[in-house]
Amino acid sequence: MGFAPKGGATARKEWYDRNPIIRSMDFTSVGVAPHGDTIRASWTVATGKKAFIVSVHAGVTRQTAATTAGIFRAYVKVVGVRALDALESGNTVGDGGFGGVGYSGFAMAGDVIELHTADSSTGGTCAYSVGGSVVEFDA
Amino acid sequence: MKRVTVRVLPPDADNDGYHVHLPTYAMVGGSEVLDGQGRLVKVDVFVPDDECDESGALDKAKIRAKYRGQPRWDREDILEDV
Repeated sequence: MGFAPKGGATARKEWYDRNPIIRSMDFTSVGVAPHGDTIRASWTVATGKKAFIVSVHAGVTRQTAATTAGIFRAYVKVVGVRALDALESGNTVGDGGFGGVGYSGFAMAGDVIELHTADSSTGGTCAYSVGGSVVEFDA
Repeated sequence: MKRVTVRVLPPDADNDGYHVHLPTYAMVGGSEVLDGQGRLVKVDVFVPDDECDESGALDKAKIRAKYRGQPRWDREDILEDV
């Protein structure tokens, strides 16, 4: 009795060998006034494709003080779930935070990755940087 | 990527924030246009090359083909709210 050979001319390639393309998405802006939750960027997995999510990052910084400080935040939403959320409430110029993480998950055709920002303050401005990268490949 | 100016829509059943009715886009910081009440109504976005025609305009047929079978995007009226 022997073992069946692995691979061969008709073997299915690993996902990272099926026409992989690195896709990055990013939103960066400064001097942004208070605003309702806004989807700054959206990336939908195309039909016939899948994606491996490599990393996400999100950061916020208060640039000018608010009259009434609220929550200001930047976050990455992966298939409906907040994968990373930079959320702050300080009202001193320079208050903020940044986070970046290696991510490990797959997204299927039709799945969506979104980059959000929001600021519930009255007055003042903030800077935002939020993004991520994926490897898209044939499903 | 191609840069186009598009409408911004308020939150709805499919989106929990102000958004653009496109499957894949990235807003350009500083390009926002506000109305008299301070609401975001227009913005420039970058969209993938393979969703645009040769002139750089959004191409409905290409978007439908790329997202074939996805109910939100494979539809005749896909660009009506853009």
